[in-house]
Amino acid sequence: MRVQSSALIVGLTALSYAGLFLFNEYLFSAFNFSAGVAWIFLPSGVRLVTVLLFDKWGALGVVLGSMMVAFHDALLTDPLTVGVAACLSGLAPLLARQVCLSLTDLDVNLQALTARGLLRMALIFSALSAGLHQSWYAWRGASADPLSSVLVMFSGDMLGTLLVLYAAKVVLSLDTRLRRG
Amino acid sequence: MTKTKAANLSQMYTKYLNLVQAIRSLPSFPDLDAVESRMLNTFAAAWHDEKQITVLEAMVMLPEISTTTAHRRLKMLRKKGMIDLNLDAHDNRVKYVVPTKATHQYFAQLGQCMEKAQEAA
Repeated sequence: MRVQSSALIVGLTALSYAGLFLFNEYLFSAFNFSAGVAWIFLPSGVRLVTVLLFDKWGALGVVLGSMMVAFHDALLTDPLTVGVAACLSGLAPLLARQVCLSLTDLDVNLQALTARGLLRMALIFSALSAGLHQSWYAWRGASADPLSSVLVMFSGDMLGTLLVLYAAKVVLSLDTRLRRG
Repeated sequence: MTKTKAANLSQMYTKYLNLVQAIRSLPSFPDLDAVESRMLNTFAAAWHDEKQITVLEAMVMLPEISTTTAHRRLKMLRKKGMIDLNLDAHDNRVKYVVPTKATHQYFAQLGQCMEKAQEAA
């Protein structure tokens, strides 16, 4: 893939991720369990879709977007913890994709991807993301309650992914109706 | 455009199409248009009276729409899981339009909505 196309994908993914992150904060900050752990996390949907479509470039865009919002926080005191967490935001979905390719009937081109397969993938994405992030935070001593945090983060990622997927479903059905006239 | 770039774009587009297809088929309440909804309501009356509706009968039950349209809508309803077709025990050419679990859930949901509306009134 040419550099310009890759850069475009990374840039757009980063902006989408960061934008949705800020939108999520605006709408659902009241549902935050703790710093970095939310009951509803819409950007996880962007992670799933971009990594499925754009593989490593999507993951890189997610890392970049995650760093953009993390370092935007003026209260940040631990750049290493947050920097690695941002990398995990991109690594986790990439890893989950590999797991799905190895253990499920998912094809590299998403051939014969069913709704059930998509939901199963969202489950694996959310579980890996929550597991990796909270393991890292616990390692760094940045999590007061790792077990609760991993459960909440998993729920938040799963719920956010479902909301994004169903929003996409609504948009697609509206598009179909408009085309039908 | 080089072959590699074309292949990459083609692969990306294939992935996009497959993902869109999967998203479209996410489980939800079936999106019925006005004609499909009207057909289902008409069938419901017959099913309630325990009448069997053949496909041919179903196609002419709504006189305001053409048989071609009715047939197309029957196919859509079947695709959405709102009806099923059962073969006649004695004549394989005859198919009966029967409700599915989704149909019962759909009418139950409508009934609940009506109840709520009545309570609110």
